[in-house]
Formats: sequence, C-alpha cells, structure tokens
Amino acid sequence: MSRRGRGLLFLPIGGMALAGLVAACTGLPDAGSGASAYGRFVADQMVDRRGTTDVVSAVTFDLRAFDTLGEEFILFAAASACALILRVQAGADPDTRRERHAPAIAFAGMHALAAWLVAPTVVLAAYIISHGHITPGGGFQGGVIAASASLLVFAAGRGAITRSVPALEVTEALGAGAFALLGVGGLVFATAAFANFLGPGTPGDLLSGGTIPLANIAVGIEVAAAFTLIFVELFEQALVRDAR
Amino acid sequence: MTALQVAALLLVAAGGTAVVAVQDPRRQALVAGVFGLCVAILFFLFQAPDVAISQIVVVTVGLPLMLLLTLAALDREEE
Repeated sequence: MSRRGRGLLFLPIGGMALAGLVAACTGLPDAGSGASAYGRFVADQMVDRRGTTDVVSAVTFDLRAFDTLGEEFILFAAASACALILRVQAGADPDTRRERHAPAIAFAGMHALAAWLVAPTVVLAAYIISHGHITPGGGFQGGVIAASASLLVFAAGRGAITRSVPALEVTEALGAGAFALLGVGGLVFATAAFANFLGPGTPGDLLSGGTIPLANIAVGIEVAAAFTLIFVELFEQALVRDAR
Repeated sequence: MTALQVAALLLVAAGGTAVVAVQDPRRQALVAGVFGLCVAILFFLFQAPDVAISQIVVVTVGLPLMLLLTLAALDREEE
C-alpha cells in the first residue's frame, strides 16, 4: 500500500482510537484521589498487622501471595521453554558444550568497567531483595539486578557463566520450590496456604514482616537464575555459538 | 496534578514518538530503553516507586538486551 493510502487508512482509525481514549479518560478521578476500600484498608492496617512499612510487598507476598506463586511459575515456565527451544535448535547437549569464550564486544576499558561494576551491582541486588518489605523493591526487582550482575561478568570477557547452566537450572528450581514451600508452611503452621505464620515483628526492622522477607529472598533467587538462564541461552544463540 | 507530573507525561509522549520515529531496529532498542526510563519517572511521580523500580530493571536490562540479541541472531542466520 502506498504511503498516502496508509495515511488515509490511519486517519479514521486513529481518530476513533483517540475518541475512545478521550471518552475513557473523562470522568476518571484526579491523580492521587479515589482510593478503593481495599486500598484504604491496606494503607491503614498492614503496617500494624504485618509489620511491613512497604505495603506493596505485604499485598504481593502476603494478601495475594497465591497470585504471586502463579506469576512465579509463569517466569519459571518461560525460562524453561526458552532454554528448551533454543537448545533443540542448536542440537546441542548441555553436557557436551565446549568451553566458549565471550564475544569480542569490547571497546577500550569496557572489560575493566564491567568487572568493576559487578560487586556494587551484587550489593545493590542484595539490598533491594533483603529490604523489600521495608522500602520499595523486592524479590523481582532485586533478582533482575542480580541477573544483570552476571551479564556484567559476561561483558567483562569471562565466558565461564555459559558453563554454569546446570547450576542455574537447579538454583531456579530451588527458588521457585522455596516459595511454594512457604505456601505449604502456611497450611502446616497456620490455617491456610500462604498464611503469614511468623510474627510481624517491629515495623521498619530488617527482621519483620513474618514470611514476607523469606518470600522476597526465594523470589529473588528464582528470578535471578531465570533471567540469567534466559540471557545465557540467548547469548549462546546470538553470539557465542560456533557455526557448525 | 502537579507541574512535575504534567512534565513527565509530556516527556513520555515525546519518548514514545521518538521510539516510533527511529528507523534502525538497533537504535530503536536503545531508544526504547530510554523511553522506559521516562515511564519509570512517571510511575515514581505518581507515587508508585515499586512499579518504577520494576520498570527500570525490566526496561534497561531485559528489554534492550533481548531485542539486540534477537537481532544479532537473525543477522547470523542471514550470513
């Protein structure tokens, strides 16, 4: 279709989309107002009841932890599927992979800069995960930051990470399993799955929030391993794999 | 709505337009990362710091990397 034809087609469709958007946005409450009963309850009650000063993590890892379990296993399944498909394409058995070297994606100083950034990134990830119930952040965010630390190792010219795939798989499974076990723990020690069976503690303390920090750590491990696994498989496919 | 929030909304609108306007997919992947950071600022200004951090880690680490690696893999297949 010609450029002019596409433009003519876009005008009515774009106009309709704009009209729909305007219609949908009129009558919305102003930003910052119009909290739901659920929102008010969470904001008023969760600090006392769960000892978390970041109520978002109290929602995701306590009130609706079962949803988070589902999201957890979506990522788990995605990472597994990614590894499965890319390996079948390669026709490579993970045990017979040869030692590979990181690709030559270097400009002056990049290896040094990446190596220098690894340690601060790991510390940041540990902080974001361990303080998820006190300040914004948590297992998912910290986990992705931890995965980016392993990317930095790769960018620093150390290809060793592509040989640690079996360890990554086990770590990912352990993280996902630990989160599921926390749910079982609610059944065993309290009344229902994912019931918070540890005391709330003092709000603002590192050891507070009951099972919420434990859930953050489990999710952090799972997410870090899953993202690293996806990155490694994509790296293998895109850059490192030798033409056979 | 505060002036900062309006400014962030305009920044997001400009960033989204920039992503569409860039033609080369490699550059587009990086511009999309910068655009995602603008969205993170927006989330932060609308009092959603948790979402802002998720947005930052996904859009600066995950998205551009996966796009660039996929483009690199496609290039290899063409060779």
